Amino acid sequence: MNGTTSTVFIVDDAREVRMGLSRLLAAAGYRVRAFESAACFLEEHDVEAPGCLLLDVCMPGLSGLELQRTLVGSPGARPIVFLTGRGDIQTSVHAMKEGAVDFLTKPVDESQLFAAVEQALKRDAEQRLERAIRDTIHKRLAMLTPRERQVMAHVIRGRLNKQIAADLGTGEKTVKVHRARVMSKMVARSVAELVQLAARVGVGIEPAVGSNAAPVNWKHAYPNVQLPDG
Amino acid sequence: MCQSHCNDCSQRIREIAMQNLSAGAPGNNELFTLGLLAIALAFAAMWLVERRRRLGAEKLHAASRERLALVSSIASLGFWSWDAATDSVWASKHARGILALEDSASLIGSSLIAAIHPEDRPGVLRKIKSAGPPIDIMEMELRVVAAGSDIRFITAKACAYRDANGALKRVVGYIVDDGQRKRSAAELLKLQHKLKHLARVAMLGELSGALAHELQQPLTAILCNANAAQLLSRKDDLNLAELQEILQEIVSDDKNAGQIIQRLRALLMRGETEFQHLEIGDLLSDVLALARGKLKERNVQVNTRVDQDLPEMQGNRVELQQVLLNLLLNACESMSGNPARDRRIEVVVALADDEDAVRISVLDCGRGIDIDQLKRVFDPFFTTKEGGMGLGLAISHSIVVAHGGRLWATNRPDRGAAFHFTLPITTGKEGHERHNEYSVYSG
Repeated sequence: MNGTTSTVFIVDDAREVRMGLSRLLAAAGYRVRAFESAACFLEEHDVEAPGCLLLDVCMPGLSGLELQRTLVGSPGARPIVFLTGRGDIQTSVHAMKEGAVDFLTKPVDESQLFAAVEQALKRDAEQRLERAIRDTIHKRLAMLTPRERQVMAHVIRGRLNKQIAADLGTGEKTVKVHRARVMSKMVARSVAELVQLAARVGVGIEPAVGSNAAPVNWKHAYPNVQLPDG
Repeated sequence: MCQSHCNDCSQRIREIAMQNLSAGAPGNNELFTLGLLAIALAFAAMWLVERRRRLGAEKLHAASRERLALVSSIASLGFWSWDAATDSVWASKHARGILALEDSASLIGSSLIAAIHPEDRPGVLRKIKSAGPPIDIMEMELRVVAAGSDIRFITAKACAYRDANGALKRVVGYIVDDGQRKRSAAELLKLQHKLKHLARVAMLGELSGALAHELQQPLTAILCNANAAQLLSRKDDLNLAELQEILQEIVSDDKNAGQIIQRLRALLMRGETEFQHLEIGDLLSDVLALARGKLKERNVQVNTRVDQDLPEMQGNRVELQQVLLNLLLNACESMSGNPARDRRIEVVVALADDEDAVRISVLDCGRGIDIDQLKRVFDPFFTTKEGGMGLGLAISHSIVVAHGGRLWATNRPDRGAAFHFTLPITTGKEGHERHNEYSVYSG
């Protein structure tokens, strides 16, 4: 079972199923919130709260698949475990392609349900961490001046100060100052770290990250982000 | 009897002759003897004539009996009579054949009554009792149960004779085996019944996916609750109240599942043809429960408006459910081109002002019906559905007609189609339904 802060959000229009699933997951120690429709979920659920979605496919109004489509790419996106009354292949393939964690058929087996929910919560935690990391990098990038950005773009391509100065039509000393500011603002201790940070958010990624690059010390790089141990 | 009577006569002639002879009157003796002889001859002649006449009459009687038997068998007529004083019944051979009674068995009134189909018995007895004095001719159509469980349709015509006080003395009558005509009518009825059933099964086949889905909800809930109870019962701090609650939930979910199956089974069965007391509101909610899965799947919303205080109705529950389900599914189908949020059906049940009936209307907001097809939609094998048999509406029409009502289609003023049917407010008239059941599709 995952950390107690994660919630399983259940969306199912059948009251008895909502009740049953809520009871079972609560008995297994999960935090649960249930909604009777996709619309209710969209309106009420806390985007920031970590957790996964346990979603009925066939519902009046917005169906499960439509909700999935609505959520994909939005801040509210979270891993989805689908529940369906009938396991029709087309729908399940579609749902899985759109990134569903699992597609379970009702009546659902307890161990399958727990395994799927577990996997979904794990994926949510990973995605949240990844998002947090990227947010931090973006925040740091946002602090750079346009000139510093230009310099950074050259640095991560592995160019020397002299070359950069020539390209930008400025003095080598000035470039050195900019470079030091970039490294400081980006909280990178080496060019290799800077390259990794940039690659993570897709900034100036043309040169491949060298296989001999030193591993980034995340704890040092992102003091504000809670990182997994080890 | 005739023989003994004649013997008596000759005996007496002989006695008189002996007396006269013993009296011994000479002279007159010859004359007397001649006279006696003449008298004896006359008696003998009379006896012979009488005997001949009787033989002739018997022959004639036998011939006429034969003729009667022939005619009655050709016309399939069976004669019978019942005598009130002795409660004895005489029945011709053919009558016994029709009624499946043994040839030699002696019969009483109740043996005749017993041969009549139990459902027709009360009507017959009522008719006999109510026949007016002194003579009344009755005619009725009824069913008899022949050997095995074969049902025969017969026409019975009878005369009831009464005494001055109006008490029944004698009932005489004949019966006709309606045989082939009624048998084919019954066969047709059976076929129609089968067809209705088949259409119902086909319709439920269409619903089966949605129904299975519907059934999975309570089953899922039951499994979840049971699993939850297992988990909770393994905990140290057992929460009995919560366990109780879970068990209660399991019970009610199980009942829900049972109801779904029950509704389904009622429609899947052949079902009885008899009419019963009906509440249209209940009927409608049953049908909506059956169709719920399908409606949900198709994103169709249904609003119902049912008048309060509707009068009592009589009808065949299963068949009327079939009609309603058929109309609902058609409405569903007709809106398949609409966007998901624009699929609404309205069902209105109200008293029809102009006729003594309740009117049920199913209104959709689909593509409507082409003007030239408004009447044809009830024709057998007319369909706009891909893969449709085109029997649904034809059968619905015949069901409604058998109930003494009407089924028709209109286009709504703005958009969509409306199907209406009426059910007459019955006062429980007997025989009405069976009579109407014979009507073939008149779409």
